[in-house]
Amino acid sequence: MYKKSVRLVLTFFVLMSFWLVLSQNLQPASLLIGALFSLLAALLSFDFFIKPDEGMHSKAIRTIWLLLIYVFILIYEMFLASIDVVYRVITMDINPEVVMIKTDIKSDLGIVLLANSITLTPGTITIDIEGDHLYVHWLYARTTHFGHAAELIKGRFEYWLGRIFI
Amino acid sequence: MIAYLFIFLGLVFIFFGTLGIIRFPDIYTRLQTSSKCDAAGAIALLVGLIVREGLDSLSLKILIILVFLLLTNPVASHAIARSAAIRGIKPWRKKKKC
Repeated sequence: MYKKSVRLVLTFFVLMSFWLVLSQNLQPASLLIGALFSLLAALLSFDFFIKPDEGMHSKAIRTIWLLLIYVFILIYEMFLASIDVVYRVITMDINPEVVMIKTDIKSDLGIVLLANSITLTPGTITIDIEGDHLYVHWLYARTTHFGHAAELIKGRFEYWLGRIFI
Repeated sequence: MIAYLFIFLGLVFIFFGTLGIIRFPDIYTRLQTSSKCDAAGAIALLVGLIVREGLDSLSLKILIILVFLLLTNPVASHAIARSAAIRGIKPWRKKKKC
């Protein structure tokens, strides 16, 4: 549980840096307008942007580093899978199935990131989620076995997300 | 030179993604190629542009576009797939040889 002022200031800094990147203007008038509207938007939205029980842990720096590593792993896997899908487009050798897999991640944000990673990897789309069960449409299903399919689809993602969110 | 290699790679991915829309049989498989190959292609394109531009303010803006692409693309394709599943469209399946 963090104080409101900490969350407000963090939201303000995120919005202000966004404004600086987009406007690319260091004139005083521009800075003043940016600060004013960042403060206004931060006042309205800090409650949604950083939830009282999530956000800044004492391990925030470590979380951010792990997330950066995770994004690079994700992009690498995306390219490998894209080459596979290009091969399937050329040969039309497809075998689509809907399989159900189970995840061990408990936190909501972790499950959302896992589902988005599965969807972002070419060849698999998350169709629906019930509790901790994910329904995944698979372009080339090597197996329909519950555990084996989960192993092939989640692969590395769940290991890294488990290190970040538990 | 590396930049043009990345841009070319992106164009190849987008081309085959679009070809997949024409060749594949049903909505789910078409969604696979159309949105996913395009996402990989767009990432390669934008990385190529960043390399070509060098590290300055424009490439920072491209980086922001990339982050939003990574966030919104899976949400959109998941929404399409889920609405198709709720409407009861059965996935196309390969005919098994008995």
